[in-house]
Amino acid sequence: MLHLTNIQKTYPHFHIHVPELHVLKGEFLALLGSSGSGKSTLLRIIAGLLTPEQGTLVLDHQTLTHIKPEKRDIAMAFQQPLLFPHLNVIENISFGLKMKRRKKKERLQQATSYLELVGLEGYETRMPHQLSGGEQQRVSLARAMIMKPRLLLMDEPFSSVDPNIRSELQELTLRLHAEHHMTTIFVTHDHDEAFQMADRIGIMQAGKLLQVDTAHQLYQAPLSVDVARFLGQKNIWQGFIQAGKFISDFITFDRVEHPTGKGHLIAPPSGFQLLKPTNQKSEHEMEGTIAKISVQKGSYRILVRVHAAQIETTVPFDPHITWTPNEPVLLRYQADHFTWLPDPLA
Amino acid sequence: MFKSHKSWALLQLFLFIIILFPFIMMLLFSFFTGWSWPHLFPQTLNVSAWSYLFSGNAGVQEAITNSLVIAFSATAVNLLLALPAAHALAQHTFAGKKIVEALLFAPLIIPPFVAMMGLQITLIQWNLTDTRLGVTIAHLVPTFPYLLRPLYTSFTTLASEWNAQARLLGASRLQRFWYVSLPHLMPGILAGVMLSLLVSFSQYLITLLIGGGAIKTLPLILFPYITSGDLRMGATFSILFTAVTLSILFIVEWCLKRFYKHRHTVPM
Repeated sequence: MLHLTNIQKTYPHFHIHVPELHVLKGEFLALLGSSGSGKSTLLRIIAGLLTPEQGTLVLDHQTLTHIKPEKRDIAMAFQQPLLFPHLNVIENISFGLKMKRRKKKERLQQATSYLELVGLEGYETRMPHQLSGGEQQRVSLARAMIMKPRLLLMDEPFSSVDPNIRSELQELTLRLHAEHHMTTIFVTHDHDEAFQMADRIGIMQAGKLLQVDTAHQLYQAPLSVDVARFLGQKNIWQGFIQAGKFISDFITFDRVEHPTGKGHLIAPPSGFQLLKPTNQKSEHEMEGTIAKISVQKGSYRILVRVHAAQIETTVPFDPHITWTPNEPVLLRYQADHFTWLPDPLA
Repeated sequence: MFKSHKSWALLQLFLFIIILFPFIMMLLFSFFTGWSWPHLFPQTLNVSAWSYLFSGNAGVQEAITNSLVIAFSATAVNLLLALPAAHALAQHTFAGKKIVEALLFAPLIIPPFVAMMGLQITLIQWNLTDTRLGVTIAHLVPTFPYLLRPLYTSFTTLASEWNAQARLLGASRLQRFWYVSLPHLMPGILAGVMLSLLVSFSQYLITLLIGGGAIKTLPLILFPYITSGDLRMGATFSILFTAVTLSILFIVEWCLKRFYKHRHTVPM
């Protein structure tokens, strides 16, 4: 559907390079990255507001490179709602149809139905300054969707509204996407937002698209240490594997069945189970002490000191078990939860 | 700022009197004669100044026509020049921008009379002195910055993002200007047009220098009476001058606001 090849753009202190990106028809793709990672720049390149120095963009077998943004049939919702202040709600929504010289009756009819779609019936003649931030974004969304674009781009559209309004807007967007199957690229810096909403997530960092995958795949099989770190993995160690054993300066794990060689071991918190010490210690268990406890939604995040390493674990709330700092504990691990990233061959 | 409504009301009253007083004086001077001690007000009603004004001999009609044609022509040309200039200054960066900006706003600081000395020579070469066209060209110099300034401010507050948004809703360049930029710029255009008209209306020296006395505008026929000490004629012409200026301003404001209001509700 949308196919990007070798897109490059250089700024004095920044270079964006996307070797390849495929977006499928009807897909909801999130571009996730911290600010300055180039995700908005990439979106503007797709929209045509910025011209890449190199590379091709193909949408539905049509090369977009030399087509003006207004002719691309791509709609965009920006970070700010950007409603035209001199036009009322219904005029704002029907703006694009007016530009296409559609008849007044048709414009009014469609705009009204899209206004209902975003849940703002009765707001027709209000001016933008009379709306709340969330309402403005709804109008902005309706204004983009009424164009029935081949591609809908959303550039952090909910980052400037309150959290509760934000989840409302997220649900609305998902509902509209499910009903209309509009191919969407959604830029965000919010992990939760990306993981909740998107079919696939593209992770961007310093102008590079590190990995595009489903949420599950990103956690289970990150392609690089950068991706794992970006997704919040703390248990990452550099070391080597020898005879089914992972050895690093800080920690050692048995039964890590990978070919011998150097690399990084990524051990998600789900691969560990925290136990009260017993007299017996089995093969997959290590002794440690609790370094730090912090409370999260429905669970504890407990850092356990084992040898020279600190291992992050998550433990569900249990009213019968209490954990205290400096308490000796037993840490059981499941090596099949771990990801091994061998270093590229020199 | 003010401790009570009372002091604010007093200040308003004070300002009102300061502004209104000269007008009352002008009215008294123009309608009466024989204002001598110990009378508080002049005693004899004398409308000879007004009858001269409307007699057709005073050249009033010609002066009003000249003033209007010159002011509106100069303002129209200014608008055509100032729109792209303000756009370039507000939304683009280019080498030498500061210098261009300084040059464009220079007439605000350097007396336009300085430029007039050079311009006069050029206009003589072009055979345009003593013509309405010549005076109109000369009026561009002092009026231009007054139109440019509010437009410049309007353009700086015109978010380029609105343009980007309009583009992605399929608006062509012309459509973007007409439906997005122009409504936003309208208050700035309104303010600039009024200032430009006003400044052009009140030009004396430049009109005299380039028009050589052949092109009579309102200030030109007003000035001799004031300098010669004929207070009655001076006051009468001043009232006429003020009336013409004010009515033009009201008409312009009314027209533009109507246009703006129209644009406000009709795009649907």
